[in-house]
Parts: sequence; structure tokens; C-alpha cells
Amino acid sequence: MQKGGFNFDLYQRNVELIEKNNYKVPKTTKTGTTIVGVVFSDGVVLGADTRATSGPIVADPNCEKIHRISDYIWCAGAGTAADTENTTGMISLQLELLSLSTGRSPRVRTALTLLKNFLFRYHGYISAALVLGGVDFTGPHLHMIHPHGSTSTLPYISMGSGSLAAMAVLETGYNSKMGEEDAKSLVHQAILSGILNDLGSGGNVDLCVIKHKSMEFFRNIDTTNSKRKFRKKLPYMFKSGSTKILEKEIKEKMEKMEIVNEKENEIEELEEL
Amino acid sequence: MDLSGLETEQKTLPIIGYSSDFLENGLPNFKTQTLPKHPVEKMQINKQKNETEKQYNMLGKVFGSQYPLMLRLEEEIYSQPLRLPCLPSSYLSLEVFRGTDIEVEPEDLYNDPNNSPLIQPPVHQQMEQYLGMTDLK
Repeated sequence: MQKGGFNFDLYQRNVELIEKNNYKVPKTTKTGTTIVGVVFSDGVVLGADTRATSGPIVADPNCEKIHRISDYIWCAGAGTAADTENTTGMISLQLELLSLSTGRSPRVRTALTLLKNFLFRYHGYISAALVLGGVDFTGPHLHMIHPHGSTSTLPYISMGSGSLAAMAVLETGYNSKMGEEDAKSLVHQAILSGILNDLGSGGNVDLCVIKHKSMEFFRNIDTTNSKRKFRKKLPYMFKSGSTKILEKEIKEKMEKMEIVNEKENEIEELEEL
Repeated sequence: MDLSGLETEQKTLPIIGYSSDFLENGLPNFKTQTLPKHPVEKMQINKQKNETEKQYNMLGKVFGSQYPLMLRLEEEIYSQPLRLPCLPSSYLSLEVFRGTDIEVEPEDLYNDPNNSPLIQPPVHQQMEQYLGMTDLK
């Protein structure tokens, strides 16, 4: 019976290409992102940059990397954009179904287990590195999930290619008794550090503050790094005569009225027949 | 194929492993069956079976061997198609029993065979291929 899901038809061809034709396997590309999460006294702050790269090219200068899993459980994703979006979408569906069938509000730990089991089944081939944070009835939680399915629970997390730059800021600035404003500014600084010092990250800063039964999403809270200073004014205006004319062909305009009359005559003739 | 060892009450038609329709699928090539499979594909093929076996093992040790026997019987009953042959069945009770009714997997979302761009051959032709009863030999 034909089943859906992932298609493995090309695997044998790939194995043959590598063994017999000395095909160069494309190297795994780094995750060009900076994502950060911090726990403070009342909740969790998640932050992310907004650059989506396709090799050396910026594919989307202002994409959304913070995905909704539940109303008060959000997840920032680094890695292949399709993998993070679809994984978080699927787990969001599963969590909703689970909470409806059990009649209980969803827990961050449940989302963590669902994501972890899902990613482990694919042995790291689904490259989604996630920072999962949220507030449920047990309090605020923050977890990091690696593509192979391993997880950690930490008070502050950074992932992606800009994680080192962001972690440097977090290590110096974090204290366990932070308030909301301190946490927001720390995450902001960490993401900025990633944007400025890492080539794979850039664009604007997105923040997400989750507290008990409240969620605030600050989309593009900081756009100073995405405004290009030196920009040519559009549209491009070219002086007449700036391109050389190679050939000239002048066609006379045909009268439309004649053609319409011919058709009407034809229709009349057909009707008569 | 020697089916003498498989005498059951219900006599089934002989099932051939490859399709006899050489024009459609090419000459039988057993090499493709022995070629390596993607590790994730191997896992997916055995996943359902292995998980249920592990579950039943564990339940048998905790509750006694009668309990998994009862569960296997239930699963058998739910797996029976209730529609006429060749019509698709939803197997909803089987899904509820296995707990997969509240699960959403890539199998449900991507590459749905009902949405495939290739037109599926009609059911009678599929059965003829399956049983090796095609005209071309």
C-alpha cells in the first residue's frame, strides 16, 4: 500500500554516485541564525534575528523565526527553515489534539517530549535546533533541543551560528533575580551581538515575552541594522540614447473596425446556413 | 512458490513478490531489493511492529500473559476491513486503539497518495499485477 511521508527513492542513486562516480557530497551548511532564550522571575523571554540565508545569499531579510506551539508556549528555531517551521507546526497540532483529548492546558514539558521523540526518529536528518520556552501551570520553563533529539534545561540558552557571540553577552549579563525589563534588554543585546559579529545572522531583532497567561510579541523591535545606509534611488532612470540601436522595424497599425465587421458577416452567413 | 506448509482454513491465491507486468515495471530485478536502504527508511519500516512488540512484552510481564493476548485479539478485530473488497477503509477504531488518532505525522501531511500527480491504475489492474495474472508473460 502506498504510504505518504518522506520519499527515499533517490537514496540508492546517491550511494552509487558517491561510490562510483566520486561525487562530491555537499557540505552541511551552518545554521545562519542567532536565537536566544532567558528565564526571568515571572516568565521567559525568547529572541531571534530575522535573516534567512541560502548559501551566501540573503533569501529573506525579515523572516519570522519564533513559532507558536501553543498560546503560551513558543519556540525559536535554527537550522533548515522548512524543517523548523514544519516540525513546530506538526508538534503544535499534536499538542492541541492532546490538550483537547485530556482536557488539560498544555505543558512545556509535553511539547519538549513530543519534539524530542520526533527529531530522534529521524536521526538528525531533520536539522531543526530549537529553543523552546513557555509558561504553564507549573511555572516558566526553557529548553534547548538539538537536531538529533538531545535536550537541556537551562536558565539561559543560545543556539545557531551566532550562539557564541550571544552566549558571551548572556554569560556576563545574566543574574537569576532579573526582572522583565532587564531580561528583555539582555536578550536584545545578545541578539544584536549575534547580528553584528556573525555573518550568518542579520536583519532585525524579534522578541517574545511570555508570562503567566500573557504573551507579548515584539516583531522587529530593533531595525537599526537592516536599514542600508547607501542605497541608489529607484526606479533606474536611463537617459535616452544611452543604449545603441542595432535594428529598426516599423509596423503599421491595423484598423480593428475592419476585422470585427468580417466576423459579423461570417456569423450571419453561418446563421443563414 | 511452495505454499504447502502454509495450510490455513482460508485458501488464498498465490502472491508473487514481483509484478509480472514487464512492460509497465520492467524485467524482475532482485538487485533492487538487496540494495542498501536509507537508515531512516529502515527504521520506519520496522517502527510500528517493533513498538507494539515492545509494548506487549512489557504489558505481559507486568499484568500477565493474558492481557497482551486480549489486546492482540482486539487489534485483529479492528484491522478487519468492513467494506467490500477494493474499497478503502478508514480503520478508525484501529487508530483509536493504537492512540494514533491524536497523532499527526509526516505520513499524514506530506506525499498523500490521494494527491499524487501520477494517476493510479484502476483497482482491477492493480489486483491483476499483484496476483501475477497479467496478459503479458
